[in-house]
Amino acid sequence: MATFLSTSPAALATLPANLQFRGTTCQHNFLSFRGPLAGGSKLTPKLKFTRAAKRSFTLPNCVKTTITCSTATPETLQTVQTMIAKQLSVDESTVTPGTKFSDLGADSLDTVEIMMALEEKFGVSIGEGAAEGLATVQDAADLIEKVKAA
Amino acid sequence: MSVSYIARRAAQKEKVRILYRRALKDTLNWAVHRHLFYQDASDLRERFEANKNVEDLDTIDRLIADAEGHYNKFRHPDPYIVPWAPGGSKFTRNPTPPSGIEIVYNYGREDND
Repeated sequence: MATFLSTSPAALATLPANLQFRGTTCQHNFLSFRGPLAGGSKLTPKLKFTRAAKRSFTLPNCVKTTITCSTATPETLQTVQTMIAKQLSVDESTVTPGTKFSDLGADSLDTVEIMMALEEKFGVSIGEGAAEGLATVQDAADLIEKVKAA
Repeated sequence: MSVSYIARRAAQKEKVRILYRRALKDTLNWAVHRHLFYQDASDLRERFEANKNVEDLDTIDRLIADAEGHYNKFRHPDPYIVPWAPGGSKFTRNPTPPSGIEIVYNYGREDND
C-alpha cells in the first residue's frame, strides 16, 4: 500500500484510516469518500430543507405569527435594500426585509429592473422564470443568495 | 370575472415580464457605454408604458406577439453572459469538489518518504 501511494501521481486524495490497510480493492480510488457517499447534488436538498423549515415554524399561538428563517446573509440583505432604495428613489429606511415591492410603488417592470440591477451588482445570473413569485425584499435577497451559492 | 380570463391575464403578465427582461438585457448588449444604455432603457420602458392601459385581451396578445417579433429581429448575435452562468466562459471550470472529498496537493510526496 505504501509503495503504491508513493509511486502515484500528483493529486492524491487522503484515504480514511480504517480503509487504508484493508486490501487491494480500494487502492485505485484517487478520491476517498468520508461518510456515506456524500456527494452529488448537495445544494438543492439543503435549500429545500430551509424552505420547509420556514413553513413548519409557523406557530399559531405565538406573538409573532411567522418566524422568518432567512437564507440571505445580512450583508447581502443590506446591499439588496440599498440597491432597491436607489432604484426606486425612495428613502432607504422604508425598505425593510418584509416590505412588499407593491408597497414601495413598484410595478412588475420595476421589479424586473431591480432584479437586473441586482444581477449586475452581484455578478450572477438568475433564470428567467426564477423571479416570478418575488413579492418582498427578503425574497429577492434569498434568490440572490441562492444563485450566488450555486 | 371568469377563471379563464384571470388565467389568460396571468399568462400575459408573465410573458410581458419575461419579454421586458430579455429586451432590457439586449439593450445592455447593444449599448457599448453606460450613458447610451440609460437612454435606450428609458426608451424601451416608454414603449412598454405606452400600452399599459390596454384592456382587450386579444389586442394584448397581438401587441405581445408584435413585440416578441421585434425583439427577435433585433437580437444581439453575441450577448453578454455572466462568466459563471451556464454558457459563460467560466461555467463549471474548476468546480468545488463535493463535500467529504479532500484533495491533498503534495505532488507525490508521502509522509513515509
